Amino acid sequence: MATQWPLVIFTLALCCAGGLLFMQSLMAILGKGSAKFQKLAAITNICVIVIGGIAVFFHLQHWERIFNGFGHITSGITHELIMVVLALAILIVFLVMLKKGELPKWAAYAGLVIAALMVFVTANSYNMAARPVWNTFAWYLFIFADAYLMGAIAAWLLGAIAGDETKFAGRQSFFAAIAKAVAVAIYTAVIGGIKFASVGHYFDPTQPTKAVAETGSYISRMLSGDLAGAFWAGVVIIGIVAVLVIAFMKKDAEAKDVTLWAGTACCCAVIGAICFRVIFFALGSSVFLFY
Amino acid sequence: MTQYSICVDLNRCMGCLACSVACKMVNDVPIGSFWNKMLRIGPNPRYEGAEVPDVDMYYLPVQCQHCGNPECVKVCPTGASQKVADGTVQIDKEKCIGCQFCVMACPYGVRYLNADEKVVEKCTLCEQKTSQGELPQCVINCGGRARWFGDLEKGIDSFVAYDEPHSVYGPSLSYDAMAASRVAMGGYVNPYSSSDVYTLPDVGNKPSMRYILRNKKWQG
Repeated sequence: MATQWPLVIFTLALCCAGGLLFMQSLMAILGKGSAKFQKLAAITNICVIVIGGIAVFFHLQHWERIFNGFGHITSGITHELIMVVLALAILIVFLVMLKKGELPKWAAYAGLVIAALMVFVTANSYNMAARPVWNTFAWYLFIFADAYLMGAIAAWLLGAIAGDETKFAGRQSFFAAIAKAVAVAIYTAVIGGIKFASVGHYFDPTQPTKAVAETGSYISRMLSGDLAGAFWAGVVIIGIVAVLVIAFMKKDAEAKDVTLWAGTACCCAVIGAICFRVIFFALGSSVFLFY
Repeated sequence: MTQYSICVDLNRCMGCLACSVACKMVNDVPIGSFWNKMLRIGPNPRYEGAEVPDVDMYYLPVQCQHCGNPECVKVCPTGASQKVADGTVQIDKEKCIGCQFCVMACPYGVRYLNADEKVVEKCTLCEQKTSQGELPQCVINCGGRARWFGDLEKGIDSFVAYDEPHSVYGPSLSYDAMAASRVAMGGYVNPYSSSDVYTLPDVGNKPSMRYILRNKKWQG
């Protein structure tokens, strides 16, 4: 399947927003992070969701019909819309509460739940039995690890910008990078067991022996084939190793020394997340292969 | 409950593509889209280690399977894809927002985005014809009388196609008489057993189309 760029950006934005909402809620519950950080995180989060929302409109061929019966409850898109609305609502509640004073615990707990659900429905929308590489628990693991990493690094960066103590978010970034490495390893192992059988050939007299689709092992495409560059350079080296090294080296650093490194780690995490999604779409062949 | 469907006797199908062409003509299917498409399965060895000429092959026409539990309907955010009373899956183009999640969710790759109308399209089982008692165009034009249309709930033996012309020879021979003629599959095609009847791979969507293949290994 061709890369669906609007969906790449949309899922990236939802993971980032879900992760950041989770982190800021967790920090509020644990009594970490200043009101300035919380405000900055909430505003950043709203911006990220809006960017994702704008991006996904570019995927729709008839966006003007979005209210023409939109809301079929078994649809993953409907679930995503519900969670985006809930996330925006709780972020507005956060901002209102912060204007009055401190963020109450109930709002932070609500933020935790909404963040987890938003990340879950993002993964669930692409869990389709028709596409074996998408139809695995490892995809959920990856999305949760991805959200955790982006949320932790974003909280690290925003904490540094707000002038907060950043050790908690720095350590979380380190743990999240390890979690993502494990999730990518599990996903790779799982899809390594998926193979497709050739079922036929194009009905084309000029290409009598041309296979309908590439039916080799999908893991070989990812590890040593046409997607190897995106996987090794993008996902592994930039998206995991670089982030892991930065987080390990700077996790206990003072806020004033963190901004540049946390910003670099944030960019690396985003590049890794985009590369993985490109691979995800490229491997998203149907269970029944033909033109 | 009715479940309109098509059964293809693959031992009769000669891969003439008349069904694909007829579908294109009657439904104005855009270039590059195939509501009904043909796969060549094989050549496959007839036994372990067999080489040419001990090989065989068959043609596999594929279209929307009008599933019993269609994934495309589940993922549609607007309800544009829907299962209607005759058991077929139809698309309300006025509701389609072109998100293409149905294209991703379909295991058979038989849904296409119409770039001009910006909506997803697929085989309608010629609803415009069957609702008036006619047959789908692919069944009408099948040169090998391999394609049969009917209600799956009544069994595939009851599926019908146009009868042979000699059945309506005489003073009544006319286009209308021919178009009104029907012959049931059960008494027409060579005998088959239940083990000769196949569906495309089922990942929980319950495809309703049936394929009959005798004396060959099903690869579909």
